Amino acid sequence: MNVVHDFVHCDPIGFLRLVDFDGEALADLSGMFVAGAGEQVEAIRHAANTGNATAVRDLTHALKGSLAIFHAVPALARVDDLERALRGPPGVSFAPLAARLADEVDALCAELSHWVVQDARAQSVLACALAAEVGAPVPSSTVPDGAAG
Amino acid sequence: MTHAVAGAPVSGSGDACAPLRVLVIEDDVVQRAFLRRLLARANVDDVSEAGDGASALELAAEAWSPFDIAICDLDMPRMDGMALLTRLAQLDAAPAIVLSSAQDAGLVYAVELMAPPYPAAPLAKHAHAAAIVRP
Repeated sequence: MNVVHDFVHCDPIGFLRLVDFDGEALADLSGMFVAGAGEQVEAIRHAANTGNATAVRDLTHALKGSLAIFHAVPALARVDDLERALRGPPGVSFAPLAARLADEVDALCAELSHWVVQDARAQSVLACALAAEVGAPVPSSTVPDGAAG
Repeated sequence: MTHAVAGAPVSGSGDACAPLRVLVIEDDVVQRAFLRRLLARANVDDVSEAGDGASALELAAEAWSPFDIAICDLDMPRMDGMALLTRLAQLDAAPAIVLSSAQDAGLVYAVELMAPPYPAAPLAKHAHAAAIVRP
């Protein structure tokens, strides 16, 4: 199983390192992000389409923190594009950049949904696999029945 | 992401044996949940949450016991972190404050004038742990 390289829109190992390879944390937070991201992105798109730079700035700022937690580098790059445009000369349309961000967040959500639909046992197996792949110690609490030894 | 710490030494509500009481002030629900998990892994279970500065002040005013630590985002609706810092400092029992921010260096520098920084990206568990135990 080479699960790590299936992820191109986020870095689950980067996340798991922050929480001692707790797969349940990844599942829970992924679920929360996926549940709310669509609304966040739609709000950004609406603000961009109406030229509301202040709203675009505030909304992308909130989204950026969550993206950093998941090490979602491509989406963070799209946010940087938007922020650069916000700092640039007035009159620039943010709509195309917001659309690119929305596409990337959609792809990220699809990737994170892989974790959301896993059951607790699958999460533990995956967390163990990821920990082993990077040579990190596997907490006993994440070792599923029958997997130890 | 930069973190800075300000305020009184952390002593557990004045009682060395009392569990730490932490107030997380962050407008993003995913980041709040993430912080709560990091704190739980540091055996900090008495955690309250606020989505903005105004709500945080209400919680602090109504708390049965003062918060030991406030972990605060700098950029929030209704009342941002800088304004909240000022108000928290006016409380009789002001908590120690851990600031989280992805803002421009200039603003973070202004905060650093008040507190030593803890560089971390993003929200590293060890940085928070170090901030919490800092004397």
